[in-house]
Amino acid sequence: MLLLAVETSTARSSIALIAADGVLAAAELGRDRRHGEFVAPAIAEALHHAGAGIGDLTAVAAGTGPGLYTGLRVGLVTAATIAATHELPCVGIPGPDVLAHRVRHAGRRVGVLLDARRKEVYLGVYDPGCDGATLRAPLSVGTPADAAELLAQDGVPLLLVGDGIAPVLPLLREAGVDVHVGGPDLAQPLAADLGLLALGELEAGRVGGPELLRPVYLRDADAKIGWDARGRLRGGAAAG
Amino acid sequence: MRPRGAHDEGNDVLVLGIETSCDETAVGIVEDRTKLRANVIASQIELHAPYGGVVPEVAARAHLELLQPTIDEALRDAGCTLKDVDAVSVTSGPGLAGALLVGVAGAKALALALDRPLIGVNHLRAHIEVAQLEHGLLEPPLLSLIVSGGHTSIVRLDADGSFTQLGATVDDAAGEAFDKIARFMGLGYPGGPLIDRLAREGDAKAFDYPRPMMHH
Ligand SMILES: [Zn+2]
Repeated sequence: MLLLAVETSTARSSIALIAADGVLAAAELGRDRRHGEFVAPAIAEALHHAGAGIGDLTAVAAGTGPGLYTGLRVGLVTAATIAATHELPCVGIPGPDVLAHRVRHAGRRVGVLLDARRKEVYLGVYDPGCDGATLRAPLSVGTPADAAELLAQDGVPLLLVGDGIAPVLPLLREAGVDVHVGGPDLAQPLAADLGLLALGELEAGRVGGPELLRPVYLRDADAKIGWDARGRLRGGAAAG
Repeated sequence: MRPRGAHDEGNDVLVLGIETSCDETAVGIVEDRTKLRANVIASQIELHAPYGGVVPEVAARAHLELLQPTIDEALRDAGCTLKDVDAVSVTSGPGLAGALLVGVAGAKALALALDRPLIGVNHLRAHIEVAQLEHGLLEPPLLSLIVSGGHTSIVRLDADGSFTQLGATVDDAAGEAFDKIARFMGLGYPGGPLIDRLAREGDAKAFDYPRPMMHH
């Protein structure tokens, strides 16, 4: 049993190798826009230190977002290509599920808020539980005011985690909601946590092929970009 | 490492190339630099047509969906499997950053998964290499004029493999100019090929265009 986990849906990218008894190796990089340079070499290095080869992998898990599109695609194409090449079972897990799982024992409703750029946030609302956090409504994207309204509507105490808390927190405090805030260790989903969560999915047989590693964008491709503002062909900055 | 000649036809070197720099997801399999075993192009023309031009985020999303099916189809066309592939190559630029990154990350993963070398290739260099498929191996140093949808350039390729762009249009490539004029004339997208066809029926002397740099 050797599971490769890849999570690149936020400004932080991470990979992990998970064995039956836990995390065998993990690496992360907190530099935005470096996912493409980081992920494949990090996997190779982790395999090396774990004394394993790519052929020893038995499953692949990846973060499906929502998040920052370009980084998200790097992780998904990496995971899907490795899985397809070696015909490995796959598990796709949204980033908010990973963060909510880490605080499943918190005893209060969990709001996962992730930076969606363009002055918006991604929101997932979860009920805590020892067996795992349960998503209350589909993941959504919207303004901080939209998110605050959804989070405040039942008037229950909240625990907020994620890197998109800052613009929403003052709105909730203003509304008199009882709010706890997770620390920086709960700002972004990490591959090690994703991998451990994916182990349960594997054991439950909730797996499939690389088609499960599809991005959750929550927004249409920006069709509003006019012709003049569209990206012109430019030098090969993406090469790495 | 695998002994050379482990696959069917002796010492032939098979390279699988991935190109995602703009609005086509393409995978080619080339044997010994000059024999094209597969050339599969998944076009996104229909996805971009409503916008009259390539929308980078639309392109990047489509590349992610199309890459694996395109690789699979190329392998079928070439009648080989991934195990036969000796190296993976990929367009490393220039191009749309988000689109390129899908191909580059996919190629890195494929090279890692297969334990084969990865070769990043400049897109303009690839345009020159393509000529070899028709005309046989070209011996550098050589000069090349590249006129395509995205580029109008004169480049020099030296014997050591180094590559210099000597000149290019200051604004749009010829192909972009065609597309823009077609859009202006309401001919639809992509209008380049249509302009190309209409031009053949036109009167080349209807307007007296200046021709800079002709006499000096
Ligand atoms: Zn080209």
